[in-house]
Amino acid sequence: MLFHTPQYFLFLAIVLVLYFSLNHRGQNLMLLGASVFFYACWDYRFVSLLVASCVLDFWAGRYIYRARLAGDRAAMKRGLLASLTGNLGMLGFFKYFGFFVSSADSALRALGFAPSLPVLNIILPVGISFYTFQTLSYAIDIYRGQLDPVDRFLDFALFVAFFPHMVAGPIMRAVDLLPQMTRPRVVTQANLERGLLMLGMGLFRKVAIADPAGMLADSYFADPSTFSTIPLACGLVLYGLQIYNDFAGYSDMARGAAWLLGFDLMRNFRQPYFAKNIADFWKRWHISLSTWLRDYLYIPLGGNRKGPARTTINLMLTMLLGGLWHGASWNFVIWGGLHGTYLAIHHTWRRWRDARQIEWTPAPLVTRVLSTAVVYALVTFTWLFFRAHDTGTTIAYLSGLLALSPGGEGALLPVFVLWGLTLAIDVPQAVTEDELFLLRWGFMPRAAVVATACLVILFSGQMRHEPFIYFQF
Amino acid sequence: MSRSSTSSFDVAAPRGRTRQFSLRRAWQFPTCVVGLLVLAELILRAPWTVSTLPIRTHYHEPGIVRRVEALERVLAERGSIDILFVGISIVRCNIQPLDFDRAVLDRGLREVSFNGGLSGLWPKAVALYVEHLWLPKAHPAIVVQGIRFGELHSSPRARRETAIMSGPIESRWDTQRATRAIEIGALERVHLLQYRGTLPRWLASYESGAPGQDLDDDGRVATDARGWTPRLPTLDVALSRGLLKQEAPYSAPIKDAETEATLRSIARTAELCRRAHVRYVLVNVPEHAFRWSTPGGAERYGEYIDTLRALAASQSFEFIDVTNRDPRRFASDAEYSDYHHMSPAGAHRFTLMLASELGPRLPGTLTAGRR
Repeated sequence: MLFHTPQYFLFLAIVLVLYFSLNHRGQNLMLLGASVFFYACWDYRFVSLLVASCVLDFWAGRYIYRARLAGDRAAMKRGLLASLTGNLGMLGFFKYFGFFVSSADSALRALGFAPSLPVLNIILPVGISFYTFQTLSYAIDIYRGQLDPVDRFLDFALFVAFFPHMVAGPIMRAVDLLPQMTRPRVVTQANLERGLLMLGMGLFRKVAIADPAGMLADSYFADPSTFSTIPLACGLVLYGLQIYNDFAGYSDMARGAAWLLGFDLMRNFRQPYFAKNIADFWKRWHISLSTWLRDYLYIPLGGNRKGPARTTINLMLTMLLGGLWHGASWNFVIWGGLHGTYLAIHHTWRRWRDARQIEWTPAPLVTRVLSTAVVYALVTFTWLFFRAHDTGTTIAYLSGLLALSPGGEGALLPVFVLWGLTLAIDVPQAVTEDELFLLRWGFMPRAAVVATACLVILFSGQMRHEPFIYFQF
Repeated sequence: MSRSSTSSFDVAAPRGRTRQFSLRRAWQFPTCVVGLLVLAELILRAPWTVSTLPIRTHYHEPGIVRRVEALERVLAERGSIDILFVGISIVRCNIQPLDFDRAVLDRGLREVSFNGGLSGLWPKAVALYVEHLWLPKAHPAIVVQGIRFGELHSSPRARRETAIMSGPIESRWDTQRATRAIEIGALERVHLLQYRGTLPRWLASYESGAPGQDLDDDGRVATDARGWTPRLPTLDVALSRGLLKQEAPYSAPIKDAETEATLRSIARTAELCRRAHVRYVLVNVPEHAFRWSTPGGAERYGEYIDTLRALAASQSFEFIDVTNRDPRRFASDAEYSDYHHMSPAGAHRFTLMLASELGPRLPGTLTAGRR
């Protein structure tokens, strides 16, 4: 059940009707039932996996907490280890087993061996990367003493399985979402307005921008050798627009649905292509993952507290694992590695600048525009490794880009149109620093914008509903 | 549980506005948006807008939309359709409705015919469109289905069912949803819903830098008001340009499992017409004599005609063969543009022959009373 299909909107409408007719406990029970149904619509076989993950971490949380109260550090570690082993083991088996086996097989063959390693065709349970990180953070936060365990399994299960964010985030921390589960919620008219607007904006991003951009990008990546340099460059830009609007659209729709139900999910994107440096980009892109990696990986590794060399290693490790989180494939590792390199260079440069107390004071607008353009160019180029599914495509695409072959200027038109639509949302959001800027507008301009957006959505809709890119992760 | 340093909210959540719920306010905004969309619908219905915007996309292929638009214009002008020609592109190119009408007018019959031929629609797909599109929309008195031997066998040129059923309206034909009729009705009537995919399609035309590469057959050539699409150049020109090197005389069996399945599809179309109290006529659309030029070809052609005649007899519908079992009656290169699509001259001759065969059978059965 995709967020942008009529089935989902019908499901959401039924959930809302039931929700408003129930008391708090009934609401939670109904939301859990609806979430399990929502998940079962993807693949009912993996509901048991979700239940297992919930049981494991609910138990681990209580175990760690009791040990914490008793001051038993060893028991706390045992509880945390159980959670880490269970969650990462599950993720490792379902997501990475095939990848590591095939990589090991290739490596051994390259060394002249003829191994017969077991090959399993394992289906990736949808949302596993997201809910695993969420349950892990719950156990870790209790271990760190930053969170007390929840009393009722129902509340915890709803925290994990809450349908708006279960499949592709935002990756919520227990400390933020659990209180919203346990306390009665008030749905105001403002909530409803915000929720509906968010849903609409997400739908617009997905249907009017991401899907058309994806359709075009797909054709460039399908056979790069048939296109000249300009269309290929456009293909990269279009893929960048696709993945941003696809994921931001999904996140907006998730947050919109949550607002309608009186929940508040964290913001996942903040105009990432306006970033003034690569570190700024990662504060704006997939914020729930980047902050998770920062808090549970980069900082525990030592962050930037252990000297320049160690900072670089920590950054590289974090970004390589961040890349691998997206999928069991070397192209994601390369993508993560490149971002790690950019970040390491950025940190080195900043350290060098700070050490010499250099004041960087050229005209701010020029600096801002130039640095934004450089960051955008780097990020867009790096999408090549994220999107190309094999080395052959990557090489063919790169060759086409570097060939500097003439022609194909008309391919810029879709880029201008789809960038224009993206800017129509991002610029007012950035200028007003309000993602719901439209609510500040007058009645008629707002109605005109919504009607126009409906028209664009109607004219853009594809014949089939393209799944969200991040559902595969 | 207070927020910690590891809170996922790095940015403060927006403050909720604390206005009270107002039903009046809640309805005002959607009503205004719907009003604006109604205005947009009216603008989209204006002839100028329809002609300016790209072709609508509520059927799986633009050619069908063009045919439906043409049909609606004829219905608006003439009130009803008497004779509807259906089949693949050979029907679309080889039968001229205006010539047909003029020919039967000479016999004192005021008939309105329309060509609903669509490229790539093999008999199974023809049955689908007759059932769901032509009979309910055109309400003809007679359905005339054109057929050639090549259609009895499967071909890569035949439109695939999956492609057909991907159309917004076609995909709803075989669903059992309770809302099916409402969905189809809305898609057929509301122009706002008929431009789905137009923007990405337009953008995709710039994929390689130059637009206009994805024009469908109908978009390249003119189609007259009654759905006839002339085909050029003539066969001799095509041959001199070496355009038909892949073509060969027929060698496929006259009767096998494939032809049996196709004959069942034809029988189904006849049955659908019978159920709708519409007369059904099957017509052999003659191909160039080259198709049957192998030794024993003429006999095989006769066998093919006999198969169709036997089907017509068993299913109690009429069958017309203007060649009288002789494939050599259509052998002029000037009358064809390839070995099955006729040139305008060939289409004119065949249409007149068809009118002379069908004309005498029309009185007493036609729809003069319906007007």
